[in-house]
Amino acid sequence: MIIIKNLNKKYKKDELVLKDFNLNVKKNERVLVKGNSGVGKTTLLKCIAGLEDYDGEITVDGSLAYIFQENRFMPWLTIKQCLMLPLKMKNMDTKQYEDSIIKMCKDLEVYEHLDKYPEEVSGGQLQRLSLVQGLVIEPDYIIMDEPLKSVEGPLYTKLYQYILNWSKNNKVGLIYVTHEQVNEKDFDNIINMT
Amino acid sequence: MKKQNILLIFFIFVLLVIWQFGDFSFIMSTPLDIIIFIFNFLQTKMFWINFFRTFFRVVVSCIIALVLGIILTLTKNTMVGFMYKFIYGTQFISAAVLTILFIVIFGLNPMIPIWVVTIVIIPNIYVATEIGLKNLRTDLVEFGKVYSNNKIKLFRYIILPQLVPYIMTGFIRAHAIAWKVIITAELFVVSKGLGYLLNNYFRLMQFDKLFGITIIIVCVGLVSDSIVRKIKKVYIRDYNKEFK
Repeated sequence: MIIIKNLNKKYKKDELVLKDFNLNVKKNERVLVKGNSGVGKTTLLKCIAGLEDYDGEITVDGSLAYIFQENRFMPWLTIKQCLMLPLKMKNMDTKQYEDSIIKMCKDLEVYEHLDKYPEEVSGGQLQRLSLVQGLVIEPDYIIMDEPLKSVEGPLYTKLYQYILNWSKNNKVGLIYVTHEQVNEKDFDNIINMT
Repeated sequence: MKKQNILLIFFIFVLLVIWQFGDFSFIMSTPLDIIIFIFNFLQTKMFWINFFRTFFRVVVSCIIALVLGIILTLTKNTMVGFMYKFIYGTQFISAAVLTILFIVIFGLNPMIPIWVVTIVIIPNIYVATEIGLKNLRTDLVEFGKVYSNNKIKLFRYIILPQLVPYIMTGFIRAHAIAWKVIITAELFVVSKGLGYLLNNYFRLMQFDKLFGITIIIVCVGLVSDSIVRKIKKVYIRDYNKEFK
């Protein structure tokens, strides 16, 4: 479970971005976090991931993956190596997960780019590959910051459904941050940040 | 590039012709005399003994400077940071003065050339590593932090690959300076090494040998430099092999 109690976060200007924020996310629960730009959605995710200092209490009981707004591929590694990097960082056996990487890449139609370098792949394709990068470690929770920002049309719908289905099928807790209009019925809990 | 090389060879050839046929015999030997000396000298045991002494000192100094330079950069915001400031100041002292200072303090210690070279070249490594750190992509570091709290892993997989091109560039420059400085330091202190030989032949007024050894030093420096550049290329290329 992810438990957030009385989370307060302010930046240097003493401007309180998050004030007494509380949230519980169970495994297999999908939470939608909505709000305009600048209300602290990304800050919230960064606090959960331990990338920002904060006041309050955050407990993450299980492994966590983070899909960032912009892709985080290492320019000196091929796409396949980038996808394996979270496994390496977590001391997981890369060979054991190779098949699942290939399967996910085939599902998302990016399999042919595995041996390319990030600079050789388009933004939309990198966005899809970012999903694989996060999902490959089979996390207990996944937090997504505008994961479909640079995707439009039928591909958007396909990826959106893929994320939801993946979360349901693998019983993974999902925190989905966006400022776009999405079907709120797809989520168990909706947080409107203002 | 090829045109530049042709021009360079032509320029050196013209200089050699002027030198060979100009009337400089009262101050120095002709290029032909020097080439003959180099050819014969390379076949002597004395050359190889002295060459390897100098080469060993350069390698040891470069390795120590590389390790210390990186450590000093990474610890610059800690208590150890003062050490760098001390060493940084010494880079404005000439290698000759630094050598003399060490002789005054430590006597004729054969380790002095290594100390002098190390101290002189550390700032090159430090500055290069520091620029690398300033240009680190924090978004990639953030990515690494999500998946591991282990600082060694973060350094190994995310930070070091970004620093390597900077460190290697600093190292190439440091290595070139090391060849200059080692000869200066060896002139004063040791009884073996190319610098010692230069000093010896200068005292004996044997200018053909003096020029010959200078040319050998230039050639050794160029070969050594190209090896270091090659290592940089191979290292960066092979860095990712363990993922494959």
